[in-house]
Amino acid sequence: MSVFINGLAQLGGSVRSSISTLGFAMRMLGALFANVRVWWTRTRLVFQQIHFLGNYSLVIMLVSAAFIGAVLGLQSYYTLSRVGSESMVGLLVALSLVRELAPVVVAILFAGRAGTSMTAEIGLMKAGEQLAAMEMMGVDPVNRVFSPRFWAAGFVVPMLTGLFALVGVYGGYVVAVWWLGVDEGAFWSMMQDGVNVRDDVVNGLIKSAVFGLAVSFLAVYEGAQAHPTPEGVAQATTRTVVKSALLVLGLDFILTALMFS
Amino acid sequence: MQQKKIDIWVGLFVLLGVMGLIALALVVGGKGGWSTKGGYPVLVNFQNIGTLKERAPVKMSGVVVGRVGGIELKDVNGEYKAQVTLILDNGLKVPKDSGASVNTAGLLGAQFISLTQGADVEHPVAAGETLDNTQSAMVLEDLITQFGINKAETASKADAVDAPPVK
Repeated sequence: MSVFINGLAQLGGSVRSSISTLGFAMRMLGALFANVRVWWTRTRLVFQQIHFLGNYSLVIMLVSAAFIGAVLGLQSYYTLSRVGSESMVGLLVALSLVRELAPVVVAILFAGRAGTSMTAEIGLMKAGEQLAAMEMMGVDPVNRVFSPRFWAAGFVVPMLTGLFALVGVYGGYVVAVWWLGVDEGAFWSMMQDGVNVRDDVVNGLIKSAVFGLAVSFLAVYEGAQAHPTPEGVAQATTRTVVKSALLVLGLDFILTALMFS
Repeated sequence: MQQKKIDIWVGLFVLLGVMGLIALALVVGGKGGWSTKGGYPVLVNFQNIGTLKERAPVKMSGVVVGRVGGIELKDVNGEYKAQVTLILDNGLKVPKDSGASVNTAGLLGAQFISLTQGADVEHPVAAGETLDNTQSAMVLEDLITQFGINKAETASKADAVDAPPVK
């Protein structure tokens, strides 16, 4: 009998703790969204974060974009040339990049490059009791630490996605046109005929803004929730990457179903 | 000083990002990415151009000698036709009686213009002139429809032959 009651208590406890975790996360998300004024009240901090998250992520994004575009060009050429439609390579590369690959890959790379450092930074601040000290001094950590990172990421990720897609298209162009001999005019005309700026490009950018905010929220949240020990911070950064990747892929499915169906 | 440096880098990043977004929209959805090299325009009127697109190649004996510069629907002597502007490479002399046809690369590939050299080598076509000898695109659906009609006609004739003579 007591085993049964203990089991019941455990179940109740886990439900209660997960609801309180969810409540904490939602309250934090609400506070971050409500604090959009950080753009003009703490402009310097936001700029510092854009510099840190954007400029420093640029190289890894652009190099990956060139290779992903090149591989897409190569693979789609081999498939399409079997049915004599290799002139469609441009369209296939551009649509896959703009609609799916650029937003998703940028978000996942961003989680690995910038999200982890956000979590580690905030986790270490927590371990050093800097967040508590701020609260003691009457400085709101949401306003001073979390919001600038959150909003900067929401701004930076769509920019990186645009550049990623652009560089990827040229990577595909170099492989398809220079190397494999696809007709240059057909490459561009098929692409420009088949890609719609409003439906494909704008929706891709909206997606990437959502992903950017989601990844940065997770990073900030995991940092704030980390156990204030070196081990706790290490675990929090790992959780940021794992959860970000899963969240981005799940959100991608939902957004794609909403936008392109 | 440190803050100013950061501002400059952020400014550069934003500039690059915005330019990237504009370039992306132009390259994948608009007119960017490819420019027509110098050449002279020649007009060709077709009854039907199928799915021919701007910038499609113009080929002669299989070699690319120009690009499609523009496509418009024009009233030619009281009949609407697709007027295609070909931008042919400078230095290429195409006889005035040359033929132009809309071909397809492979079964499903993109369409292009194929030029067949005419006999009148003395009179090459000049910039802005029209090539009159044209052949429309082969539309697969039309061919299938035609095939279906022919098949039905043959079948009904065969039925007529097979049927016992009416007494």
